[in-house]
Amino acid sequence: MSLETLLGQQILNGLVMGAIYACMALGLTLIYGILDQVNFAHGEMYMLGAYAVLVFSSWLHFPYPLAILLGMVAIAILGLLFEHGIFRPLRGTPELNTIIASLGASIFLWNLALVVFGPIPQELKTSIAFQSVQIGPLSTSVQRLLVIFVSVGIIGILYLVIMRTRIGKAMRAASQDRDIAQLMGVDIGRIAELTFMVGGALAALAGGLIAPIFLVYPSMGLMAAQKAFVVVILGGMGNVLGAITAGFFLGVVESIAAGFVSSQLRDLFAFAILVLVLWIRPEGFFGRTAKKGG
Amino acid sequence: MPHDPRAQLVEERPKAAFLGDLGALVRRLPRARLTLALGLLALIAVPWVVRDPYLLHMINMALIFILVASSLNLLVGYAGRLNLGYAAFYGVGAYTSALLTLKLGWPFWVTLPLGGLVSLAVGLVIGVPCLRLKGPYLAIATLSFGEITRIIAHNWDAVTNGPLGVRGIPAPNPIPIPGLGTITFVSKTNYYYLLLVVVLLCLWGIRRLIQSQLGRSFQALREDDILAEHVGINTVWAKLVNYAVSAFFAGIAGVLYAHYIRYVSPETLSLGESFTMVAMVVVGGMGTFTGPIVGAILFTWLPEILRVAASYRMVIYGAIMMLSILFMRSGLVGAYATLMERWQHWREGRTP
Amino acid sequence: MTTTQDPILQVNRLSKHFGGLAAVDGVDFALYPGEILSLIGPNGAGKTTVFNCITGIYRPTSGDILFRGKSLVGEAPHQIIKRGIARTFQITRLFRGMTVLENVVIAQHLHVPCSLWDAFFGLNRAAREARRREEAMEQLAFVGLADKADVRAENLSLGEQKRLELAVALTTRPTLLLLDEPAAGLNPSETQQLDQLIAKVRESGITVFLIEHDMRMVMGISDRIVVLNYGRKLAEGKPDEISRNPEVIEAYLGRMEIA
Repeated sequence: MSLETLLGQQILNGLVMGAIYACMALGLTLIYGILDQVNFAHGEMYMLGAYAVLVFSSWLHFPYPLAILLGMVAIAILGLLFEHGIFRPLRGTPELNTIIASLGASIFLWNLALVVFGPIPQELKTSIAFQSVQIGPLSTSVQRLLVIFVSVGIIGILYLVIMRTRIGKAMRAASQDRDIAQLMGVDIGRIAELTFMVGGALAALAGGLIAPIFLVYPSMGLMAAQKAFVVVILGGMGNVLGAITAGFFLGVVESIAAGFVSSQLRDLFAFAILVLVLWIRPEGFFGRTAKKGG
Repeated sequence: MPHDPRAQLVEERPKAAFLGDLGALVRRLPRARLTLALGLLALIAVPWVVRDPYLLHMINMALIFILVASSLNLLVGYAGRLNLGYAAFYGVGAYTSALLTLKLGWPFWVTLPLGGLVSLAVGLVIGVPCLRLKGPYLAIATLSFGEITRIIAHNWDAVTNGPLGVRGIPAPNPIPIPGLGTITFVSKTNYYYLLLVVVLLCLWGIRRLIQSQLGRSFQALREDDILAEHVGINTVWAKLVNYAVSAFFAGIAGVLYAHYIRYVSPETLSLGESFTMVAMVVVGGMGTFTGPIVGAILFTWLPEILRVAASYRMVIYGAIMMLSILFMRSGLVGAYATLMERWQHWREGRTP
Repeated sequence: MTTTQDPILQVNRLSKHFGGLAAVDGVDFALYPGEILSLIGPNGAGKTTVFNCITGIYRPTSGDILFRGKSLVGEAPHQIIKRGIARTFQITRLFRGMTVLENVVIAQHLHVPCSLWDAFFGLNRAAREARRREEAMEQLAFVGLADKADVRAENLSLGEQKRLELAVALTTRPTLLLLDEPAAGLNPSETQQLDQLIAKVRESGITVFLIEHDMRMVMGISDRIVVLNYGRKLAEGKPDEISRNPEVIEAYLGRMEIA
């Protein structure tokens, strides 16, 4: 294989992971941008989304697209529970509390999944997943292409909603200044619920799309969440466009580095990038300087 | 009787005064020194009373984690600098001592402080870039550093033996006592005394630190770091010292662990470990002296009290953490102190 | 307080830009030992920015600030405090979770041992702590908060919080005290108490540099006034000169608070 083909292949694979990262990071950054809270249980939404799709598809034999939809709904409901159970009671209290509470939720959920589903990774079989596709010299699978296109599609729709609709405007207003938005009639409670539901649905989408490619196991959320955090910081916490761009960026860079340098240290790259960014420019490449407090 | 403010210089938050300021409490008791001496005697007598080696093992593990939690508390509770990758400091100390004793034959008594110092160095390496970070940025950064350390331990086969870990770590070198023979540290009983001495010494150091002006400046960092600068506190220096001391004691705890269990692996540095350590401090009571002690004992003994598989335990840990923050913000110690206050008021209300 | 003495604080062509915006633009003035100088101007004129440049929160874009002849540009706040400058803040800053007494005790930082060695091995701690508590109580008595020593800072009323802030600043033993809108949010009787307190502070030999909007207080207590507008110095002089200055009046048109 020539160098260009190898590079092209890595980039293509990287776009797949990048789409996943973008979905995850988008949910996280929306929550932080609008509500000023960090959800450390976001990875578990991803993991439970994957399991939900697994249950709907492999156990209940619903068609895959329907299973994905149902999975997104299920995790959106979970997001609602998060908002009412954890994040609303702690809104306004020191940041440390939300971080620890959501951390507790993360530990709770990941181990609950371990107890319920067992530690053995499970396969999510779909009829079309591994049909291979050739794009010029590059080979990939249908599922991988699905990941990219469906993610981009959903993200695109979400972006339009945020930018063009009234509810999107309300969200943007709330992310600028929650108190003023409230004074102007924005129902912060509803927006909060919506944000968590969207975040959950996106995470579930990512989990459900990636599940046929990699297996489904209870601790899959841990690393995914960490990568998502890296992306959120790279793109600037609260910055929607930044999260999307940085997500794809990280996916591609990681893939190239893993392919050309070492696949063992694949995860290390994300963290090394994070450390570098935090050192040089904590606001991320697109972030506004010093969003709140300091 | 009006409360004399000078009698109560409370280092920790006033809410936990009752249990938190054991020192002041002890000083106020008429037979304070006697109580302290009795307490010490009780601790020394433990292995004679507790005959079951399994129970003694539990006590030993609790001692190690009391040290871990107390030093994490310096960082999280007093200085308010969250750390989600604390197992890295602990693990570095463990690995350092394990490898130095096993591969280079150095004596434990040298590698014990050395492990602490290496952890201290790592603490500074991690602490410096974290200086300017706050809140979620700090949380994620420390988490990442913890993971980086674990990945290095996992992959650096040549030095750390990769995922297999380091086995057969020797027990601490025997101490010859002229005329009486040698003291070995293989048995749980003897290791208990080693732990007692080292951990009590470290706790004494931590307590002295908390009560000093330096300890106060840590708290100033947590409350308002700009104001801290404006009363003359060099916040950069304070943060670094805080990291260094916290990492040092964690490293010591790691060394103690390594030579007790005689095996370390990258699992020792895992996220689960880091989170459990945070849980100990938070549930026990951040920013108090006794909080982490309570938390450490709880989370070391809980697995045994529950007697179920590891994953069930973690489910409960997670639930405890969530519920604790939602309903018991100052931890168990704080809840106890509030209860005591209410009881006191109730009593005072009843007697004219 | 004479202008033939050397100034205690000299601000030379101070500028601070944020991105394209000049918050402070080429401001010069001087403070003389023992006087009370007030800095006034409409909101957004750059007054707090000047303070932030003096105490090292911001680094000036250009210009110099000399304290007793030596520049303090580029130094960290704690070093500037060490030199003898203290301040209060527009939005009250306190160690909120700690008691009133503890707030003052911490502020003794510059005058007590604070090294790691002392932390572990310092001797005679009980006696030293008792002395520190006594000194802190004296400081609290000065501002009239001695009876609230045990109360948590966040549970004080606004007026009490401002007095605590002052006590904390004074504990660092400054020769120059910067007060950023100390009267904001206070009722008339509290403002009068504040007035007296500031006078007491000046009597104890400390130079006072004041930002205020309460014109009656400013006119009553100041020896001299500097007026800023849009980041530039508009006027400087004695209170009665300033109150008759047409440019100052125009700048404040409709916004002047003659209480």
